[in-house]
Amino acid sequence: MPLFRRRTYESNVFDRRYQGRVNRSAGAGFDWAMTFIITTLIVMGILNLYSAVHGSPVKEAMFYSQVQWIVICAVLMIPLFLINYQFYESSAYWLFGVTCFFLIVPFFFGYAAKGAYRWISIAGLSFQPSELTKITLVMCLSRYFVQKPSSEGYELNKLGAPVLLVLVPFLLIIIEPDLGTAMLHMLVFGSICAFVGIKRRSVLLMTILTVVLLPLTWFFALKDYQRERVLTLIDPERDPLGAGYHIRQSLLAVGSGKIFGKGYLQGTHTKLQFLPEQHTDFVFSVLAEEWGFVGGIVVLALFFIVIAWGFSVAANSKDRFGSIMAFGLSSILFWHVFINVGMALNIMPVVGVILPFFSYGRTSIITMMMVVTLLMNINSRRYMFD
Amino acid sequence: MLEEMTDFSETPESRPKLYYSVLIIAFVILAAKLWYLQIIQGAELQEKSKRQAVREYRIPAARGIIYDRYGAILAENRPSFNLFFHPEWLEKEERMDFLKKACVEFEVDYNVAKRRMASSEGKRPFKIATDISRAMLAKIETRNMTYGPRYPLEIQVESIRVYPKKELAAHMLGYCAEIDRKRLKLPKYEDYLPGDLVGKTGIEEAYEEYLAGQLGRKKVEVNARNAPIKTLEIEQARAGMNLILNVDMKLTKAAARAMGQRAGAVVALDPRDGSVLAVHSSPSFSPEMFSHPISNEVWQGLIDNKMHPLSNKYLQNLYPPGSTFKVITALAGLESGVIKPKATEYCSGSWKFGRRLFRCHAKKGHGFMNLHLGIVKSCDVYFYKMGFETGIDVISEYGKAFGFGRKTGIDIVGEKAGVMPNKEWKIETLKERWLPGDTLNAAIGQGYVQVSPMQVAVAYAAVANGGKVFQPQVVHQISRPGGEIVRDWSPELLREPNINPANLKLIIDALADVVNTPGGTGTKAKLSSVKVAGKTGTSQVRGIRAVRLHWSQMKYEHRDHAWFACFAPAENPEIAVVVLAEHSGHGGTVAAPIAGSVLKSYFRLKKQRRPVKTLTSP
Repeated sequence: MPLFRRRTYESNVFDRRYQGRVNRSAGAGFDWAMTFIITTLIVMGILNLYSAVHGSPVKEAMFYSQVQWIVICAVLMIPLFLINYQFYESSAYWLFGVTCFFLIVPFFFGYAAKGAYRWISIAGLSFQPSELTKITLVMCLSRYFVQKPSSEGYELNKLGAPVLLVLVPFLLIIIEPDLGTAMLHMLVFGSICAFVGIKRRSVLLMTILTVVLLPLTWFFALKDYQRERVLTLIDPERDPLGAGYHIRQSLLAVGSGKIFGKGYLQGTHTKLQFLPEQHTDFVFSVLAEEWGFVGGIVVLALFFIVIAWGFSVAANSKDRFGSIMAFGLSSILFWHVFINVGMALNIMPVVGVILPFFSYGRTSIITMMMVVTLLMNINSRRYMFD
Repeated sequence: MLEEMTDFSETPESRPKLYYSVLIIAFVILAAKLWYLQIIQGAELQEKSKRQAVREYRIPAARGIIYDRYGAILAENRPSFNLFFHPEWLEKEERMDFLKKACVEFEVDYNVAKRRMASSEGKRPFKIATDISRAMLAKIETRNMTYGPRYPLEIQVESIRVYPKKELAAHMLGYCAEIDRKRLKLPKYEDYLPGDLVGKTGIEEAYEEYLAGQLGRKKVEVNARNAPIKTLEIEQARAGMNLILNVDMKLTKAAARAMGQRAGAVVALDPRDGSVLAVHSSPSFSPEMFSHPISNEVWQGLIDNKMHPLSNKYLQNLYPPGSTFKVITALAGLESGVIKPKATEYCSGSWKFGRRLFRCHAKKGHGFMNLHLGIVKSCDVYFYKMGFETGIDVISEYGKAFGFGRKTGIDIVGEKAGVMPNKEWKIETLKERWLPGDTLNAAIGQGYVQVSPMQVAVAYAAVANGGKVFQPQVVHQISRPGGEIVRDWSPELLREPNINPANLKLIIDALADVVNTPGGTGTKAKLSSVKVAGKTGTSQVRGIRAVRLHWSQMKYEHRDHAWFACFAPAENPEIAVVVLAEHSGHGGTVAAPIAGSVLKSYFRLKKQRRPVKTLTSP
């Protein structure tokens, strides 16, 4: 359900559904309204980031680099939009292989930040390859499910290969370690599976597998601080100066915003630096403190519109590859928003998942812009047939 | 192509309802939690958030200054650099480790620091060293700079108490030290926190509420590192009030010099109004040593010293008054009509009473004695007989009227009431019947009678001024730092026992002859310019035995206490002096010269200060 459909005067020879809507070029199907909404989110994100970092010269530099990077990305998105998304169907495995390779690189050449091997450096700019694998994973899975169509839902024997596909980045990321991003890969995989449909039996089996794997993960894969975070979710006052500190400060910041907030740049938690990671993980708390319930709801509503639009792109794509990919991309957006905001509101554990367009971070910005650009790419080619 | 399209539209992917509803539910959950936090819990969380960003600090108040009656400073403050440890700036695991290292490096007692760490629960900063040296200060500041903003050692400037006169009148002034647990529980000290200085003993304790001043408070907005951002509210501290004492420090110094190395006490009162002119307890200590945490060895040394430097000998130690008490026995006898001043008794050196032999200090006896001679020669037998006839209850009544057996009410904490026995007292406390022999002992100030030198001074001041018992008073005036007088003492007359002036005159004449006639026991207190009246006393730690030993032959603890109580000028007294020298021998040979020397200094100082200066407020 695109908010705005460009009408063309071509006559439709195929189907009533497409009558009068065939485009000659991708540009003709460009969704201006959605571009406006996404631009609004990006601008809000930039303004909010400024509030989160202002007052500290070191962090203010982050703000300027973020603005710069967004402009660069906007330019980079043009070719991404113009290349037909169907190209990725043929190159999906290649792209996935390359990005997974980049996941291995940090262990040898990368550097550790806060004890985790997440970063690689390209031409002086550092990136987190694990952000990009989310997109290539989606492409990869889309291609797989297109090649192995199933009208009554997938049996477990057909899911073996995709499970192996997702386990590659999942395991690599979990030993980095980056629990949040690894979980995100799993969630995206799960979402796509749900979208393409799986036999009830298979769902049951996967659930059992998860139940078995969870305690194993808890005792062997998780580090002490990560366990603390999960426990804190249950009781934020557990250790007010330790793991509970983040969440306690976040709740105080959010709650003290009340209905209309304290006003832009007026958040005391922000100003006094009580809130840790307020420019990345807890950027939503800054927003909620300064803009209150009203601001928080507006931003949530905009995200809701974007994700719902993404679902509609999936529903209306001209081919199955575009459809699955659009859904996968939308689910990336959805899980990011839900986990990040959930973290700030103490619904989810603190796992370090960024809020699209709001959090500081070069890789996360370009990834999220790629996600929406690819969605537009699919959307605008809905009526283009060759 | 069309077929392909229609084909896939039948697959499960086209079940939009399912994923739209998941999306809606997820966002409703987020919005609901947002609503709950911001609308329902908003006010509460806002309050919490405000509180966390505001720290309240206490601004210490400068303690009041203590002056003597001529404006000499006895106690004041100087800045001290104190070292604080901030456990809350460190991670839990690092704390103990860091504290240990810091203690070794900066020579701090680790055990004390550990205890404070426990009581601070890792949340509050606590003091680990007081008055650190400049070298140490420089060392810590350099560390601070290299380590960065979260270096958990912090220097704070606080004030420390100094006593310029060092050991002079230490027992009267008392000292300041960190507040102890016992005091912290009292409602009087509810504003104090562990580590705060508080007056302990002496007038530092008695006048704590005036001296301490009022703490200031400062509300400061801080950031997550506790670094102050801006001051929100400030309530300045109010300095404590100053005290002006009745005490003359030069006279006190003279008393200390006269006392020398002996253990004992000197008290000088003004008999006209009860003001304390000088007090000295020997040996003394320096009150400043309590401003720092005191080491166990030093403390044990003070406790083990057999001369007990910490005990206040003129208020807290009790002694038998010895012959100085005969004045009370004489007054009781005269007033009750038992003693006829001219009647004589024979002293043979002892009096056989019942089966016991009561000895006089003169082995060969004094011969015929009347009241005057009995006092001048301090004849024990005369007073045995007179005391026996007067009876203990009458003696006790007069003793109590003159202040024995009850607190003098002096404004120094910790005085003892002593014992002025009578028949009832013995039955109540010892569950024994009063024996006639007990009366004989009490009559010469031995046996159950227990007094402090201050009580003797109060009694002699009363004898000197015609029978008025004043409350001794150390502090004369309390004034604000600006000079405004808050409280000014007027003499506090406690009792005025009804004594016949003629009888008093008899006593005073006898006391004058004790000092001024050649055969008197107190001739060593005689002054050339002023007529002194006084009474010696030699109170026995062990009773007089058949074999009389010279004091040098006895163990220190068994030697007699030497007393001398006097006032001058005899006709119009303006100073009463009591000297007690512990385990030193005869009152006439040891205590009288000391008293004489104090009196001499008093009159010399008075001459120097002519015209007589009144009390000066600085």
